[in-house]
Amino acid sequence: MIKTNNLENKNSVSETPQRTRTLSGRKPDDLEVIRSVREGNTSDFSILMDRYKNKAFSLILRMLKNRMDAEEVLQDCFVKAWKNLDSFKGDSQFATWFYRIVYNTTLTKLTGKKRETEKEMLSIGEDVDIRDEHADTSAATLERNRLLGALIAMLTPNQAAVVNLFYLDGLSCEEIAGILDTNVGNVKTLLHRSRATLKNLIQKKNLHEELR
Amino acid sequence: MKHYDEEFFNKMLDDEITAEEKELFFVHIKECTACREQYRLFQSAHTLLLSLTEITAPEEINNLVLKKIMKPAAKKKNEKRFFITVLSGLTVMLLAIFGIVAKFGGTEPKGGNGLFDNLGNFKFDTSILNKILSPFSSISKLISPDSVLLVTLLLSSILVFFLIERTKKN
Ligand SMILES: [Zn+2]
Repeated sequence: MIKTNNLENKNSVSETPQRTRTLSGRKPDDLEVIRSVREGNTSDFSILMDRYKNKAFSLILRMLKNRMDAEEVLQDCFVKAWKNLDSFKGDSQFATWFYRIVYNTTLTKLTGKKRETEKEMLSIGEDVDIRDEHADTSAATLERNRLLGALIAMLTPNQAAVVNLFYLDGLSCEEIAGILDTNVGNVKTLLHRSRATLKNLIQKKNLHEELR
Repeated sequence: MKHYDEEFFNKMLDDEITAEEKELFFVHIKECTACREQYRLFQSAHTLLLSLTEITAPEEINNLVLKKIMKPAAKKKNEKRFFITVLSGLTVMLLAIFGIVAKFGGTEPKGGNGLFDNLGNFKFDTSILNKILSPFSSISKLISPDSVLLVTLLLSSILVFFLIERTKKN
């Protein structure tokens, strides 16, 4: 049987008061969670999943542009992270290490499916629905999301990855270069091209004033 | 008049332009509608991208992943437990044999009737056992037989205790 005496108990009413006292009032950081998982508390891996699943899913879906494939890849990414957890030395952040797995797994999926060329040919008007079902649904937000959805559909997987990591995760171009295994110059080019694409979209659709 | 390019607008957004260059740019866009418009469009694109939100992952993802990773983990643990049990069992057996030989090795059955000798002790015929276990016997002869048996019993008890504890934990 797998031990269920996990780290989540530290933040709630716990049966192990000593452990609670040592970490009370704060969430265990990624390294603490990883240590616990390595000690055999497999279910603590859920803490890491809760922390990164939405961000990873956003990255995968924006690169793949297909929800079913994205769900499958997300599972694969977590299973890979679990299997390779021993190779995570802690000299970089877990997020960066994990995003590298996410990016590479998604690329492998793309290579297998040859989906990218198909999706890149989508015209501006065709909106691939990769918006968040749970997001705010006010008119202004809907319009903004629609535009963003249309933009992401027009981006190449690499551009989508850079935009997502830069704007959503707030990573620097240097960190993104590490994840994509490329140089900072390439990351900046991808970012600038994405902005230019969106700029052209706004210009073409005459949405400049609406977005102000 | 020389206009500003996309690279410059991007650098403006990333704050990679010197104060001097910025000043020149703002003077320029006061006069140049084209550059002013382009810069505004880039600003709108940048603002729009800043509003990028997380997409919620499917709810069942944790369970699906845990199911996948817990199966091999449990299997691995079971294999390890089985290996430890077998190893411990073999050690106990070996120690027990060693102890028996140490106690009775080299002695011939004493007189008496049936299963008991003259002193009423259980009669243990070690003649065949001695042949099989002669290497153990020669080692054990170097040490006092009683102390070896005592140590064997002690070690066996410790091993059995650990085995029970391990089974309880798992
Ligand atoms: Zn100009």
